[in-house]
Amino acid sequence: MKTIQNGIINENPVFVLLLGLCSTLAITTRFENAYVMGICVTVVLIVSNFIISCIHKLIPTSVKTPVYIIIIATLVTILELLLQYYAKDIYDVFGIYLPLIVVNCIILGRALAVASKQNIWKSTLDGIGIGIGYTLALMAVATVREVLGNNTITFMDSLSTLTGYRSMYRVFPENNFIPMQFLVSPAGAFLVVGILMAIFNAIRRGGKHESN
Amino acid sequence: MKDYHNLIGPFQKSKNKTSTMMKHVLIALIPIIIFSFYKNGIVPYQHHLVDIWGLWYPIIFIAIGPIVTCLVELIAARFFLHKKNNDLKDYMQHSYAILPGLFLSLILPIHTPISVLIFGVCMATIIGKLVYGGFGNNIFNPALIGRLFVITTYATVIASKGGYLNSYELDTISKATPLSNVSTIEGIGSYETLVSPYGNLWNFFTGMIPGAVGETSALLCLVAFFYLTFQKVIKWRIPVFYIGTVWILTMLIGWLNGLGIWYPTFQILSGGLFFGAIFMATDPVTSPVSKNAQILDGIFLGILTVVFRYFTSYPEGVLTSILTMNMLVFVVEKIGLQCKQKDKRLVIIAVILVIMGFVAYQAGRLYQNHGESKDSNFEVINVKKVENQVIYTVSQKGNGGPITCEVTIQNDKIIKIEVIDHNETPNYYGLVENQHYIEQLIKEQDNLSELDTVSGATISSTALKKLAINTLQEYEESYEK
Repeated sequence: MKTIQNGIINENPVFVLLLGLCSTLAITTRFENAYVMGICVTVVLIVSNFIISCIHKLIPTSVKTPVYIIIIATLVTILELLLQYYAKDIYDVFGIYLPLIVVNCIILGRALAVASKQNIWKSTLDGIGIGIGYTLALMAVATVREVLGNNTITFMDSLSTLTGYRSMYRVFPENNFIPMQFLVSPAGAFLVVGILMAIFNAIRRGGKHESN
Repeated sequence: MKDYHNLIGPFQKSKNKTSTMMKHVLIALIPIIIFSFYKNGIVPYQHHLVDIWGLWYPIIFIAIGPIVTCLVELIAARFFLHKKNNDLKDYMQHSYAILPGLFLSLILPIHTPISVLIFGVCMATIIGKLVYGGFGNNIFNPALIGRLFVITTYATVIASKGGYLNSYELDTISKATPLSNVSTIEGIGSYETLVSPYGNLWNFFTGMIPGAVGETSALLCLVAFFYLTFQKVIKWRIPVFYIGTVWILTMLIGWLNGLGIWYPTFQILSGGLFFGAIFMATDPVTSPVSKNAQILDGIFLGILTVVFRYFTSYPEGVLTSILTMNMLVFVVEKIGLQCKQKDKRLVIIAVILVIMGFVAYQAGRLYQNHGESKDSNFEVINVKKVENQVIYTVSQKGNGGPITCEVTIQNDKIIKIEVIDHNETPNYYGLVENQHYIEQLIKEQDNLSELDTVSGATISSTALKKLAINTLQEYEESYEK
């Protein structure tokens, strides 16, 4: 339990470790994209952490990074093919960012830092914790960007071919609120991530200043 | 004489403290505010176009900016920095919260809704200033950050409320601001199309032209410039070299196209160039310190402004170039240091001259090719003949990509234009649809080139207009011979 909590709060990959920012900035224009991306990364992370912690003793240190990359790339390719078959819409939306999970620093970072050192149980838990932390961070960013930037919140739209259920809501009445389109643009993504990061860390530290 | 050896520096020689500098800036702004009140309040009131509320509206509008910035800073200092009593008073005295708000309300269009103004002012103070650590630490000019937010987010809202023109100008001129007017004209334009709609160049100089609340009067900006230079508040090199570079470059561009000396004068007098150069580019916090760097800063600002005006779809260019140069101040400062050596100085001057020549040549050529060949943004995709009707499927490049339409022509007249596909920004395209622009195009098809575009969605509506003109031309070429 402590490991999971650590992954969500003290070592939140986006807001504290600043890892995986590329996908965070790029795909958080819709709430739906955010949580699907989060789930994808979490699945890859858990499985890769599990496999790597199983076999890390067999791998010579000099070639460990290439081997880890091969494992991660295999997992991502499987995921990509599955998504392409079952959820074509979301596959199209993600485009290049789906294959790019391979080089998402979170996964390789956790593989090198945790999975190759800890036992199987702990590294799997760490994968779950970090994955949830990443998903929650993405969801927070996407909520702000979609609600303020587009005045909608999409729980299920591209996935509806898979589930047969669609839910999209308009948040504010249309006449009273003018969406700030700026926030949907890449520059807005930087701004939102920065502000949320500041708020998150201020709460995490409980108002105290940490001196580095 | 004081014994300086035992004291700790730095020492202050002149009486020019930051607070006196800010006081001088405020004094220099007073005539501009009064002029804005005259232009946007008194003149429309004299012509019975606004009521008593409209008379005082400019003053209220200008006052809201500083009040909101002060409030935001006060709240931030009290609740986030936990300052109290004397500390708080001291902080407020040294944060100069009034200025960004005042500047921002002076560079926004008069028809900006108050809620949008407050939003912009909050963004200016919070993201432009407080995030960096308050006065003295900001990288970018806070007022310009605020304007950037307002323009990128609420441009269509402001345009739908009336945009830059006050009620009197709506009644008499009813054209866009001079620089947006430039972008709607085919080719480089002439004195009749560029200057005459607004009277003459003297009007441009005194500021009786459409524009933001307080930035139009070059005369008063010049007065402020001399006052502030005399008081040693601003760095005079930046505005002089900035405006000078723009003047020289546009003169070269005008000369390449056979235009007289009025053209560069028109270019420097329209838009917020004078206001931006004198008040924004010389902001003590975000501009270079050494003399050489100031000269370089001014020259680069001028080049950037010309590049933005001629090569992008943004007509103004002052805001973007000042923000860009704010970012590059440290680079300019370093190049400025290199200028102290004689041989390096020659190289730098040569490089700058080459860049200026290249920009002027390219911008000048931009218009020379224009009239000769066919519009390269226009494309005929398909032609169908059904009985006595000819149906063209054509596309014209708009803001976000090609706009594809089906144009039906019967008896040499357009009877229907149907948009099949477009990629325009929904907000802008919505404006085009709201004003029934396509119906207007069909109605006015005999003198299309004189039809006004939709203000606020200039590029989209111009594309539609050109599409209609080009289709008619295509039809005439293939069927009348």
